[in-house]
Amino acid sequence: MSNGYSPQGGQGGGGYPPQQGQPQYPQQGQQQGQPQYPQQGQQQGQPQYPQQGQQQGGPQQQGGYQQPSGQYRQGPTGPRASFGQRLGAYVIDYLIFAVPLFLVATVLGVFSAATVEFNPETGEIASSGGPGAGALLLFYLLAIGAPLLYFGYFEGGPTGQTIGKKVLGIRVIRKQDGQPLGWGLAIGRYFARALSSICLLGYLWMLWDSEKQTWHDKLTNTVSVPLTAYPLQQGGGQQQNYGQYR
Amino acid sequence: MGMSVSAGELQHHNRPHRRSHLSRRALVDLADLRVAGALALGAGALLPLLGHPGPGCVLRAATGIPCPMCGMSTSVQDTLRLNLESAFVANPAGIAVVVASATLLVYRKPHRVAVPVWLPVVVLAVMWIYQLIRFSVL
Repeated sequence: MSNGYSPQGGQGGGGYPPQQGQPQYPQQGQQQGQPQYPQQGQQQGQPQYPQQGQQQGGPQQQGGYQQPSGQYRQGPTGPRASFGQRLGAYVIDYLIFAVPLFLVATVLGVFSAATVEFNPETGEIASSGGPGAGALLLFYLLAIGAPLLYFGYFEGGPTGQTIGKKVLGIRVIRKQDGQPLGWGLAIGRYFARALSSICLLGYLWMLWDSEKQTWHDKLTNTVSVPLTAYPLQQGGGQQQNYGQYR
Repeated sequence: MGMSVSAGELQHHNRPHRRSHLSRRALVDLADLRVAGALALGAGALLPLLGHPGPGCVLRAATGIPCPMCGMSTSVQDTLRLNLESAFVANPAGIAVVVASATLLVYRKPHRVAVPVWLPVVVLAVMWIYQLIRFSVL
């Protein structure tokens, strides 16, 4: 899905940091951008200076229409992974846990039903069978710990890709500077998913969010992006690679 | 060409003073919405066949307080079976979701629409108030 945006190419100035103007990126929704038509109707005075009151750069620097520091921004400030891509990646990652966990749970007897007997004369409740407390504890530790390590390791690594994201060709980066998350932030992002999963609202949020961010994206200030627009640097050297986005 | 921009939008662009987040417009990718809508329709059609009502609400299970989306699974399923009355009781937004999803699957023309940011916020707030009343929290 190339949309003409080339992170490497061209004008060194307006590259990655989303807050600044990005002349080369075609602004996803031209419906309202309209650089060529300088606000007919009103304010006839200043054709090529849209929003002159508040822009920081000035048109001579940016050439053409400049997004006024995010104030009236309509689309995302760079290419973003689509809902389908992110969902597909999540399903793959989910299956990577769900299948082994299901097997482990079966082995541990988590699903085995307990027989509960109530003695009406003594009022005692006796249960037998069912998973033991130790088995349940082990299962919960695995169910929480394994994804934590998985997301922490893969999303926190230099590529920002889990296996699912790799398959779908997307990666997660810090919104601020395009750098990889690092393990700490990646683990934080994993816990923030819990919030997003409340009634799925946090996941669905990306459908109408201007930066296509879920709640766990927003909490950790990250974005999921297509690999085509934000490629990995071959042979390491992440620092240098992202340096030129600044 | 280019004249399709309405006067209101131009005004929107030219206003010099700072505006809040809510007054911004967000570009919504209809391809994304289409995928989500198709999933909603698919889940609404399939879940009853599996004899499963769908995932419960984590918020309500933990705190007893419903979330704005409570009743959506039921509502979508009921709407697909044309039980509009029970669908409305569960969550009126479910009916809207079914209609919107079906519409998106039929019409593929605009790829993106600009939605004012306040719109989903207000819709969610109204949905939440409805659920809070339905579960007698308010």
